[in-house]
Amino acid sequence: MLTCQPCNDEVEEETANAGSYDEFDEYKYDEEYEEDDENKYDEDKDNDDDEYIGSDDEYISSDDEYIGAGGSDLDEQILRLRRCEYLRESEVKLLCQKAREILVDESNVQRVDAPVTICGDIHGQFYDLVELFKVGGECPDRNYLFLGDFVDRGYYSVETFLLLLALKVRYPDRITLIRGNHESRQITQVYGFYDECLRKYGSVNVWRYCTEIFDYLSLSAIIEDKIFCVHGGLSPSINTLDQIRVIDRKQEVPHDGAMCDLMWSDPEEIDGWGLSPRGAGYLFGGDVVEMFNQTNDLSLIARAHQLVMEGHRSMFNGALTTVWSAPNYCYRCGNVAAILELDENLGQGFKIFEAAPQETRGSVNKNPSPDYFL
Amino acid sequence: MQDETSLRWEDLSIDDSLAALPRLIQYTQSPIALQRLVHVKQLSDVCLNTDLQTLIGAVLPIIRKLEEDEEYVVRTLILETFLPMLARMLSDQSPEVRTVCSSGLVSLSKCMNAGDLGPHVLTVVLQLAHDDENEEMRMTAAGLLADMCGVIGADLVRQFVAPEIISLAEDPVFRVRKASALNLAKICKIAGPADTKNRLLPAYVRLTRDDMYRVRKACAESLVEMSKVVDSATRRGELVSVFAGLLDDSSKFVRNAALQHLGNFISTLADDDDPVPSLLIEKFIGMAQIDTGDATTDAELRLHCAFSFPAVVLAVESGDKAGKGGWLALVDAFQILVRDVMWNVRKTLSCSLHEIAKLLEPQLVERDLLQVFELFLRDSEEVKVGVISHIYEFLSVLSPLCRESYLHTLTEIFDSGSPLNWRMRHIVAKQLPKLINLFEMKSVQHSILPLVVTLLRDPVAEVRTSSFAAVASMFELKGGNQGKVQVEIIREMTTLAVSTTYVDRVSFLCICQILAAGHAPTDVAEEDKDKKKGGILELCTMMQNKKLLGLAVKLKDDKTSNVRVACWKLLSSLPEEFIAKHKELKKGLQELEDDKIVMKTVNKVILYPAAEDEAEKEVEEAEAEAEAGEAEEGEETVEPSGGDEPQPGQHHDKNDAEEAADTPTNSVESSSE
Repeated sequence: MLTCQPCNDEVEEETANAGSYDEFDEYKYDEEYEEDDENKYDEDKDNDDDEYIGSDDEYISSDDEYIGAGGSDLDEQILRLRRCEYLRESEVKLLCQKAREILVDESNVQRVDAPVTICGDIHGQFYDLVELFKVGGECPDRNYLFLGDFVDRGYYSVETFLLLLALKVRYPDRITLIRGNHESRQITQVYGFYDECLRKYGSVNVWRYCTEIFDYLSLSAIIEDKIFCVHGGLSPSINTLDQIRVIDRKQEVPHDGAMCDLMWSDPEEIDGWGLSPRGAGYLFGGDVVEMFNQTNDLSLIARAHQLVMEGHRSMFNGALTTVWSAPNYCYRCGNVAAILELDENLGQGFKIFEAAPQETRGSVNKNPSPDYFL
Repeated sequence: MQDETSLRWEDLSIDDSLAALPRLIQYTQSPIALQRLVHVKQLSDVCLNTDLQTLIGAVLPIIRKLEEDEEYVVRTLILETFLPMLARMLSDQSPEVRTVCSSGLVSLSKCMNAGDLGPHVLTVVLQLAHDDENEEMRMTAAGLLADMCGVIGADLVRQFVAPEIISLAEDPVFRVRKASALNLAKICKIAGPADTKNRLLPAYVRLTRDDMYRVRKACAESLVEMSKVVDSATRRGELVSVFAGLLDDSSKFVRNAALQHLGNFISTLADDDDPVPSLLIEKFIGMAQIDTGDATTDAELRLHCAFSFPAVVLAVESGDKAGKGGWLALVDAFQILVRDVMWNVRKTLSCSLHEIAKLLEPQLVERDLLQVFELFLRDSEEVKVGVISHIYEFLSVLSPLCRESYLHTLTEIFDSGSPLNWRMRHIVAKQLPKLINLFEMKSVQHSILPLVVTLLRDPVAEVRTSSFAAVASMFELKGGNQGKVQVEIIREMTTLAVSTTYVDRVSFLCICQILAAGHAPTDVAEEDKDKKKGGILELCTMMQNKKLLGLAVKLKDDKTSNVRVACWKLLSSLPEEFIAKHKELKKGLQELEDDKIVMKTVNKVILYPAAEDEAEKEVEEAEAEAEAGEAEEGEETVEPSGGDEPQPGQHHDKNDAEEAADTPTNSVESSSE
């Protein structure tokens, strides 16, 4: 793929073949059933879990910040997350429970109103997500649609996903999150999110809560009936949006089939369909897009999934656009990022931004600008 | 905490299934003093079998609580249990353990009776200082003596600590002498000027002539601290000559360490009202072109020189009573440094140029600093950002006439540089409310206003938001031509209000909200609240008269909910008495509070654990019923709106207590699937 070239040497393209599915299935069996056996909402157990004394000095366990008996204030949690402080395990559990209630009611093709800002892959680059909000405006002042791949690769997948999820619970109709191929148990065990959870919480509980939520994330969105938004692309087994609507999405990302394709496919300058070098999903050409848009009365397909050095790329005479929102991907690709702003009249405008400057990146701030000591 | 007399026998039983540590943690926090006492006795044993991580994370917090225990027996036990333990661990082989124990001992000392400090704490440290077998222990003792002297008081310091550190300063092992050199200043501070001069300083001066260069280097590093605790005669006499010696030391490590601290040392001479010794100034300006033979060291020293430059200017200028021009001695070195090849040297000076400008006469600023200012503005982005961050402060020292001629730089900042580097625009936008006060009204109208108009439509949300305050300040500007500026601002705001882009309409409402809050810097002083309130009412009336609030309230029906949210935020921020007087505003606010979409965004969300058991639920319901009877806790209706249903009218439907009662329960039910 042309769009991936600049990074191929250093950042390997993820494939669907990472890890062993047999192992994974076994794991899933154990964990899921264990989960059913225990009292799901045993708060005492949560408190025990919190006794863990992390070696990670970023973990701030402060009882003062916690609203006592009644419940926890989501705004306060969002403030903490914006400072890149992660939540306690018990808070994550509660947040995920609430998120599930909201997400379970969303459609596989979630309706979204304009104005809205469309964002591509974030990949755990927390400080660049903060930069994105500075450039695009804070949620809920602006409405957002994130096209998936919140986790893996970057250093702060936990904080990134939890901030987005907390915003979702706080402002359900101001932010929409759809699923990317990285929102998967299998992929996150290979590309970083699993390890990060283990390192930051000393247990895989948070990873379990989050991956369970992944299963509830919508597969796609449609803005004002005109712009179809999906993480990867189209599927040979899908001709109409209604065919997406009937998918049972509450499961791990499958190896093949429509649900897998929506998250894995890529557009390519070919006719018809082609095999994907990723080992999952397909390559699809301009004629496929034209047909799909015509059948479903769409003006545009907005998708993410592929690194674009310029942040965004339009294909097939403007029928499809790729949005990429992780600047300097993996902290070394040197690309800029973009978000696509749609105003209330569906007018389109891209905003380009660079990675957040070093001094705004809290923990690696070793070289602050000299402040003066008179 | 429960009343002990009401305890039942069950409360006194102890859960024996617990392991030692959890059991300790649980029962040292028991409301029953006896249980605390018993378990405090076990603390020491448990700690010995615990790893350091757990000790710090789990056990130390308990100890901190127990130090304040209401029972003196418990407090005493803590002392008796822990002091021996700390004493043992102070001599641990691992330096990490010793460091933790040292700080533990110091914080424990802070909680102890003054009378206990001598026999219980100081003796432990003195024993350590006399460990002739192990130099590590004597080094730890040197640090502890210094850290503790603030707690134990001048008398004990003079009587015991001073002789001890003097003896450590003569230790046969150089590392102990080095530790003494680094810690002497803290002890001098408590011991007082007489003991410092007669006993401690001589010991220090001997160390500055030590045979081992590493001891002398430690002296060079601690001389600034020493300089802060001695009287000015000693500083200018003995210390200056000691420092001069170190600057000419035979070891380059000592010389370089002295040079690194030279600027700081000179700044300690600032309040003495005498000229800074020319020897020190010469050494200091020499650093601008230092050639030690090692390029890395040179660059480091030039950075030190640049960093302390303003402090040295301050010292030199304050010592220049005769007005001979202390700056003149420094200006050449300064001009060399601002052209240094290392960008971080230039950046340091770029960040502090305004500080130097504040110290100099205006004509010197205009003669020597203006060209540097321009130089930095043309430098790379990371250097440029320094002067731009303080452009208000720099321009404010210039004469008004000269200042006007630099107005164009503001515009140039926007035109030059990468458009992706929005932080530069942001930095200027944030200073604009202050900057407009520096210029003629005419300049504000012709130069700054267009700038603000551009910023209001900046592609980056953060930049745009930061320009709102400047618009508000310009609206309130007083003085000649004020009318013209205000008319143009109102025209601009109106354009935003009727724009086809919702972002502009939101901007308009945000500016109105800033105006109504009286946040603009031209506002009356904070302490005069009545006047401020009057000022806000006056502003609101002005906004009403200029038709701005009329435009604002129209947006209550905007098709984009983000605009309606902003409209609610504005209207709900206006003073109640003002709203009450204006029917359309009141009606608009009420309509917005019935707007479920708006309320869903502005209402607080509290998350409740889903599995609160039935008993708790009953308690909540009972409480809610009780509240329903009183029907007064209005705010409560806001807090628990964690359910999925929006709670319209969070401020105004306060009396609907039944709703207040329902909300938390709803939330519980809806969460538990």
